[in-house]
Amino acid sequence: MPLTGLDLTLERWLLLIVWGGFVGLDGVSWLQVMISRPIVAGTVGGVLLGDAEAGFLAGAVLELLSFRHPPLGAARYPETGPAALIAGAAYASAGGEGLFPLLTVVLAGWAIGWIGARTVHWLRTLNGRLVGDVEYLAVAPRRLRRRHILAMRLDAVRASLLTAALGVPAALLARLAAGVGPGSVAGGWSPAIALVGVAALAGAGARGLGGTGQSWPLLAVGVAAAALILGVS
Amino acid sequence: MVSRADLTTSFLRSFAIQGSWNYETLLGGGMGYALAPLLARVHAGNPVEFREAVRRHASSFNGHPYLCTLAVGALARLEHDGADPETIERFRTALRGPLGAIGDRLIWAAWRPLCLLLAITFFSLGLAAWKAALLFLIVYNAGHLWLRVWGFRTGWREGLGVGSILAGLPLKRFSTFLAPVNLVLLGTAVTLLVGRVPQLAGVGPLGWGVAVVAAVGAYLSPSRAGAGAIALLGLAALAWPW
Repeated sequence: MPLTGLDLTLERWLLLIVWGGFVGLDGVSWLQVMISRPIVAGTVGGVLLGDAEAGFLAGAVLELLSFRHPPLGAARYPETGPAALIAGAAYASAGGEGLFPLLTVVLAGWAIGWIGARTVHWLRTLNGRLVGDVEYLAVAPRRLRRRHILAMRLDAVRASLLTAALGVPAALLARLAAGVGPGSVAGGWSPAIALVGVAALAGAGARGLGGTGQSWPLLAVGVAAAALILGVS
Repeated sequence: MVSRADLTTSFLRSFAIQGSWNYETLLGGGMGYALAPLLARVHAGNPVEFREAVRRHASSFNGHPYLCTLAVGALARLEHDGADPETIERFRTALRGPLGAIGDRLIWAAWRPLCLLLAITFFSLGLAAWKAALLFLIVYNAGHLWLRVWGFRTGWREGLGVGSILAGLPLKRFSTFLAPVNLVLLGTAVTLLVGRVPQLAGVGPLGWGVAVVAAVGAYLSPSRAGAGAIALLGLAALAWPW
C-alpha cells in the first residue's frame, strides 16, 4: 500500500520504524555494535527505500559531521542513528541524486539528531526516577531487573516514535528539494558545493578527532594520497 | 559456587550496562543488573547480604561501556572471595576514572573513527555501500568484542590486580598512534568522497576560495555548534538555487 505518493509502502514504513527502535537502542542502551552509526543506519534506510548507495552517502556526510562531536566525558552530541536512518531513506526516496537533496537530508538529519538528543535527555531524567533510588531497589533486587529492562523498552519506543514522526516529513522535504534544486545544482555549482562541503567537514572533523594547528600536514598527506589515487584512476 | 553459566549470564548482561543510564547513578543500575546473577550465587542463602551487595553495585558508577566488563569481572571476583564491603567500595571508586578515560580515548576517539574512515574510503573507491557498511561492522566489532571478553576474563581472574594491569596497558600508546593515522585517513576519505562528484575540474576560484574559508572556519571555530553552522551555511549558500 503506497503512502503519501512516495515509494514508501506500509510494510517498508513499519520496517523503518521497527529498525529505528533497534538503532536507538544500539546507540547507548543495548549492544552498541554500531548499527546506529550513520553509515550503517543510512545504508539500511537506503536499502529499505531501494537505494543503498544513496543511503550510505547521506550517512557518510552525517558521519563526517558527527566527528566534531565525539562522545567524550559528559559531552552532549546529536543522536545520529535514527537521524541517519531517516536521512538515508529520505535521500533514496528522492532519487538518490543531486547535491541539493543531499544537503537537504543532511540538514534534516542533523536537526533530527539534536531532537533525538533532547528525547534521550528526557529518557535519562525518567531513568533517574526508575533506578536512581538504590535503597528502594535493594529492598527487592528483582525491582532492579524489571526497571532496567523497562528503561530499555522505553528507549526503543522513543526511537521508534522519533522515526515514525519525522520519517515522512524528511522524505517529503527531500522530494521537494529534488524538484527545486536540479536546475542550478546540476550545473557548474555542483563540484564547488561538494568541495566546500568536504573542506568544511574535513576541518570540523579534524578538530573533533583531536587535531591541532600542527595537524594540517597530516590532512594534506591524506588529501594528496587521494588526489594521486583519483589521478591514477 | 559460581558456575560458568552464571559468568556467561553476567557477561551477556553487560551488553545492556547502559540500559538505564541516568544523571543520578549514571550506569550504576546497569552494573547492578549485570552483577546480579553472580551476586545471587555468591550470597545464596543470605538475603540480607545479597540485598546489601545489590545496593552497593547499583549505586553511582561510570566508565566506558566496553571496558566496564573489566569492572564487572573484578567486582564479581571480590564478592566471590569475600572481600569486605569497604574495600569493594574503594576499589569501585578507583576504577571509575581510568575505565572512562582509557575507553573514551581508545574506542570513541581512535578505534571507531579509524574503522569508519576506512569504510568511507573503500566506499569512495567503489565498494558497494552494503559491503562497506558490513566491512565496518566486522572490523569494528572484532576489536569491540575482543575488548569486552578480555575485560571480563581479566577482571574475573585478577580481581584487585586489574588496577596494575590497567596502568601497564599498551592501549594508551595504541590510541596515541592512531590519532595521526586517523587524520591522514580523514583527508583521504573526504577527498575520495568528493572525487565521486563529476566535473571537479570545473571548480572556479570562487569555489576553491570558499572551500578554504569553510575548512579553516570550521577548524578554528571554538564551539562545535559553530563549526557545524559554518559548514552547513557555506553549503546552503552555494546550494541554494539563486
